[in-house]
Amino acid sequence: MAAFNTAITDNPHDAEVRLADFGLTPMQILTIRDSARAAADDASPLMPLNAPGTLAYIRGVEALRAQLLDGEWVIDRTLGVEAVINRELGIRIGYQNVDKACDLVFKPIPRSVKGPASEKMCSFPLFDYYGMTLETDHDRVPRDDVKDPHGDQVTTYFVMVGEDGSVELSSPIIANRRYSDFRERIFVDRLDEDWEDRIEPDSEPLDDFDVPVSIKDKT
Amino acid sequence: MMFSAERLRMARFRRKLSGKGLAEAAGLTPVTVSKAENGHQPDEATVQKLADALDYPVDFFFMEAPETLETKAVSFRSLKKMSAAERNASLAAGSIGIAFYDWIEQHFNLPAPDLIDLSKERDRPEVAARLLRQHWGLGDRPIGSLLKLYESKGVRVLSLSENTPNVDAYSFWHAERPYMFLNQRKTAERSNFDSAHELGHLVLHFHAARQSAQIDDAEKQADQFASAFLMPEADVKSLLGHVYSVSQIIKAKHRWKVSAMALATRLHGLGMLSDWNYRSIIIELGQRGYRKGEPVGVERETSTVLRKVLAALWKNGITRSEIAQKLNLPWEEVETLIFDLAGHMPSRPEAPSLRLVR
Repeated sequence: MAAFNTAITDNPHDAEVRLADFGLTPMQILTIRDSARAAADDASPLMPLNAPGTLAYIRGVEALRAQLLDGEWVIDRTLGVEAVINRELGIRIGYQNVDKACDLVFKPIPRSVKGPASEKMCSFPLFDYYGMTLETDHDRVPRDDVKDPHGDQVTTYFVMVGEDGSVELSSPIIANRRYSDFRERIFVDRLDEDWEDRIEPDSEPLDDFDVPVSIKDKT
Repeated sequence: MMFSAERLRMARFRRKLSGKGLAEAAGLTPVTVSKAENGHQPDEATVQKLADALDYPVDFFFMEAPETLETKAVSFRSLKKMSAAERNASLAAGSIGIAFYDWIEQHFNLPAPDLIDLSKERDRPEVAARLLRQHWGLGDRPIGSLLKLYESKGVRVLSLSENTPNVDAYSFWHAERPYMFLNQRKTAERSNFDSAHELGHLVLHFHAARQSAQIDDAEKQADQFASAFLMPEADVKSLLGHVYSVSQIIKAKHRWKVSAMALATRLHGLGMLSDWNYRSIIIELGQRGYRKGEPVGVERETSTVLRKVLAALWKNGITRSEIAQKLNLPWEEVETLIFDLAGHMPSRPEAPSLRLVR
């Protein structure tokens, strides 16, 4: 993976232009985010531990489809991923709850029921003991042993909604049911900081590229 | 060390000789040459004859098997126009280029590759060009120094040894490194467009790991990519309003360092020139000599990496011919790879500085 880096679109203007490539608007993505968050807030303390994530997921997928289905975008369930697909563009979009979106340093991780700390505390797998498993967002990441029949023509993106409400549309590379890396990340909204206003860019030709070349230290 | 059959074939391809031709030149039977190329170890006298006929150092044939390139891994724009001999010679030159750069990398720290995979945008080359510009933080500004940009992003730029009109440029990925070979006999403007075209191939059609599929529209896509990458729509539109004359185009082309023809084509593509205007402008440009050359041209760019590397070696008293010796290559093979790319060099290296020995 060393040769290619992640394409990151991290300012609102470029994000809008990039989403337009898919025939989408930032507003649609924000609406999906809002529906999912509202659903998560509906979870009551009496509900199972995974209720906020599950409700957000259910409403998130619903909102995704409500926003996008229009004839070009149709429902898709390849590999068990509840998604929409645009065969013309070769793009599939799913929904995923993540810990945090739009962070350049910490890439999004699908949310799980228990963090590492609670995992340590609850060493006894109560639900497993009774033959029950709680589904988590981790479990909704497609398995990589099942091959996408259209893998070479279709790129899969996810609307990734963070716990803080940050949201990005991103295409992860999945290995071992984890996001090992990202092909592309489009930051749609982050709440923790105001987007800087873009300063009017200089229009002179660019030529001050740094080409560092140095003799290797042979010691 | 064993005699390498691959290396014999490579040197023969570089010299554009057939097996029979080599046999004649070396005073050997075609069977002997054929055997040597198929892995039979030739005797010392035969090796010497082969080396002499090919004008390659004997040691060259006893190095490890070379990194070889296959046609399908390389973007050859004029594949159809090239003869098999030219194609094989170019592929062999690619192998030599890899060896040359591998040698440089043993001794120097170089910029790491920073390209993104835009293969899913290959049907929309303009979008791909915009995304790559964005990834590199270029905005919509024109690029004043293309080779410097590529090299800062880890692309290894070399000169085409076959500087024939039949090959414009070619590029490939090898061991996760992007390579680009440019024809230095063309105008600087054409060369700029060619290099952007190859950049398009590198991000649209090739993968570090995967072999490229045969794509019918690949050349057209790479051209569209180059056009959009060099002349961003917003910049063109903000600088040129109503275009009506050839002189406007000739004056404006400097900004993007492209040929007048390429700018006219871009303006037509952006709907800024009507079909009729475009056609008459192309005809007039042809009459003014812009089809074959670029009368009011820009300066040719040079390679920053090669200039820095050669300057550092010079300082240590290592000449180009000594580099060739270290690689066991004929001097002119190394020279063609850096032809015109390294900028002007003093003809003599500086004397190595004296060291105090206690």
